Amino acid sequence: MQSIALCGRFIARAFATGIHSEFQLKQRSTAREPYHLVTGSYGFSKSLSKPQAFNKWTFGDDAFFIAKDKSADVIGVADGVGGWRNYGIDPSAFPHALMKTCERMVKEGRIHPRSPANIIEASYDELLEQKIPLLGSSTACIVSLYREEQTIYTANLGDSGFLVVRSDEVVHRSQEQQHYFNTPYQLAVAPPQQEGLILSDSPDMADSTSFRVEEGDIILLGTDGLFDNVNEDMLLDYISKLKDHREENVQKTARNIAEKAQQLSFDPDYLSPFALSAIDSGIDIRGGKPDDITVVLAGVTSLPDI
Amino acid sequence: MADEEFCLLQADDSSGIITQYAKDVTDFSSQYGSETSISYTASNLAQRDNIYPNYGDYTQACVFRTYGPWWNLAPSTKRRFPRTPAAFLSEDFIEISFKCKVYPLMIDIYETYNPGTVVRILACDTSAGTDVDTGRIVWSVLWEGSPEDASPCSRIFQQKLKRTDFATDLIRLEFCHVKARYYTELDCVILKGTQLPQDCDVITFCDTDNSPPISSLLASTTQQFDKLQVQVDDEKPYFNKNEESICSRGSPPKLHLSQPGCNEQRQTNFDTVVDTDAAECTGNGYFDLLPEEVIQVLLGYLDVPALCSLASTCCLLHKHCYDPLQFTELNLQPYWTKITDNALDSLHTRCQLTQRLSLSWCGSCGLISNESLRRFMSVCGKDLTCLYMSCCVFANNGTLKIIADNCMQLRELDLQSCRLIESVGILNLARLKHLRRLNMYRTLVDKPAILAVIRSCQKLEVLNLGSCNRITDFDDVVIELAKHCRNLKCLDLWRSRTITEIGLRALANSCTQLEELDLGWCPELRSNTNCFIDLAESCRGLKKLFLTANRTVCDKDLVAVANNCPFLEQLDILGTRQVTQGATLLILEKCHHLKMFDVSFCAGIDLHTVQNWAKLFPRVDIKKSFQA
Repeated sequence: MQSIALCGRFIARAFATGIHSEFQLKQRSTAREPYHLVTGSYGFSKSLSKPQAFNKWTFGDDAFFIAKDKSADVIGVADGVGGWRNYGIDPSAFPHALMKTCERMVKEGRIHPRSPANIIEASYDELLEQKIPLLGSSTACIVSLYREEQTIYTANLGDSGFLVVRSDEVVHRSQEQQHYFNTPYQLAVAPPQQEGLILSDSPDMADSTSFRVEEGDIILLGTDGLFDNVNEDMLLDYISKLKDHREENVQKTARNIAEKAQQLSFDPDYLSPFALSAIDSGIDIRGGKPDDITVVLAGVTSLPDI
Repeated sequence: MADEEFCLLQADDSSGIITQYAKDVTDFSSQYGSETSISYTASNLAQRDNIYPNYGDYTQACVFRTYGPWWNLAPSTKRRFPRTPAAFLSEDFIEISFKCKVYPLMIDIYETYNPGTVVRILACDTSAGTDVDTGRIVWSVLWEGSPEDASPCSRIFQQKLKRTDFATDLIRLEFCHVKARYYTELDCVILKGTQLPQDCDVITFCDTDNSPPISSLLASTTQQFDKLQVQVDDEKPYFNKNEESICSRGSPPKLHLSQPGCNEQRQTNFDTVVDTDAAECTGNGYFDLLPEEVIQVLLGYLDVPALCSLASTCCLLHKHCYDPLQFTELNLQPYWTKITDNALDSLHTRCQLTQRLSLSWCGSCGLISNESLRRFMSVCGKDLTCLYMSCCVFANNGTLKIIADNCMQLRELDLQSCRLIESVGILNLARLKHLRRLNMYRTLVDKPAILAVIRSCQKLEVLNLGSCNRITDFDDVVIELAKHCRNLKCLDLWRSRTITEIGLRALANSCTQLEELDLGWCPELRSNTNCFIDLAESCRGLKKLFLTANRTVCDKDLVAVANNCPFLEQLDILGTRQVTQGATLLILEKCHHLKMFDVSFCAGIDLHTVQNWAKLFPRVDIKKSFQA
């Protein structure tokens, strides 16, 4: 009975990803060492040309975290909605607090590795428990590698996203969630007088997937500042140059990608993915999209940490 | 849950010293955070530090529910028991478990906000619970101190611990917040100890035997007897017998004549017979000259252990020390480590007239059973008007049935943090028609049970439903309260997530005598419905109003409070962005009785302004917390 249930889950997963057959999966689950992630991260704030090393884990209005507990490696990014600046509210506070809370949840072992959507939801609830009246809104994307199952579980709300790259091909990706052009799904805490007027999506709107990873897979997690400026071919190009999963190389590649994204974002003539999408929506713009850029790159490996 | 590798900081093989973080928080008396959250909750004390060396008000800290004198000054405060020893200061506690059992040497407590509140550190000998002889666990005090008004910076409170003759993995910290200027916050605890006993010579003399004579005298004669039996068997057999008669049969000792002190005093004795039934109770020296009332008054100055030991001196004093009139109010909380089934049984004869009893904190790790409580209540429950049982881990549904069966006169009941009582048990309380004060803070009470209690206990004046997160619809509860309990004076709805303006308006309209209302962390109350204004206009006698973390509180609410509540003493508007300095100043100017005003995390009120106000209004303690 249990094995039937197990099969069912595998089938469901294979269905969702459309990649694996049930058989392959079963064989692997017994044979291999647990995987873990080797991570690197880099980013830019749009207002400053050099990275803000003084504020850990934030780039402008973007924030990210890398954490692990005893069963999972978890990475996540969040992108604050800049419009709050007009209300005199620091747009980076919300995503930063969100990621800090997610990190705490993971580190303290309060989450289940199979449900990153719950991390987002629980962390959002915690933001409301703070004494400081936090206002703002943010997208969120979390990837959790359940080491024993060699499977990533993901949750995405908004226009941040991730790619899983295997042998220079994208084998799994996030779905972008937008209400309309340039207006992603977002978690928000609005000031009392504006409640109902501000776009605020529930944490359970997050798009959840799971995907079986293999040794050597690369997970690229980024905010829209990355994906709006660098197209997929370029990203694959950078990732293909990454020959091993040593931490310094992963870190270097993350930096190269971020630098490229930043360079393109200020290029007025470049036909960026953002410009192409705008044209599709009937808006005629050109060039890169100056934005905060965050890149988290993670290599899947069974080797022990170096 | 705890990541094990992080718990064990260091195991040094050469010295045998193990250094470890707390693995889990197993019990606690109160917490600031909500039951389902990880912000400001007691569980944050477990595992490694994540605030130190920062100083400030951080979400990831362990925070208790109260601080300073403010809760003791509020209308809902409990009357202090006479005979409470001055040295017993503890107000809150937290119990933490560790991965490895050690003989403790030292403890490091990381205090990251308002330090200086730790007053007692105890260790539990859990293995003694399996001892066939005693059959009970032992708590041993490893350190005792006074609260300090420490300087406002984060610190590691390092305390060398008294040695124990047992290895422990369960530590209890007790706190006194009286001197804290704001909530005390703790980051983590590190315990250092050895796996083997450190020094055999020392260990034989350790534990309670080392403490000064009076305080080492145990709370109950029963326990005293246990100890005496061991010491006395070879030296003074008569003393032993004497003790036995006191505790097991409750009759006066017959052996007083053989006591050397009595013989001497006899020579100066007058023939006056003070007491009729004390034909043999002459020979008490000058004590025979004193009217009984005077002796009783003198005895009133003794604490409970002293009273118990005095009872074993001579039969006259025994008679007076066992007089039920000495036990009309009995606070056993300071002796919670010593109160066992036997101790409760031995109190039967003395507690016939007891009206106020505190069993708070008692019964940890199975020291008290419901069976002995039933025996006690069947004898001593009939006159009981006030019973405190906060944090009694043995209290369950059966306990409440015992109370309801035996204590029909009960007017005051405290069940704070009794985590086992549920709706089935609480329904019994509906039989206690005289209840005036009821504390259900952090219990699992649900809506049907509390509705039944409210409907039948219509004399309720003080009700605490803080952090009762099983109550799903607070509006219904509060509307029922407004309908039946018109005399309500104090209501604590701290963290009642579901109360809305409908409930609050019903309350304000009916219970106009309200003096104290805690609406902290009730996010569904919206200022734009004018519910706070209505409250201020109908309940003009308010002395304490907490609107903590209600983000909607705005200037017009404060103006209404300032204009309508002249007796206001305590006000908390923490965490609102809507309030400006003008309305806040109006409160300071108009509420002449104001003593405490918490404006922490109010974006419109900066620290500089608060400092200026502090000079202008020295009678008001204005709180402005911060997170660095």
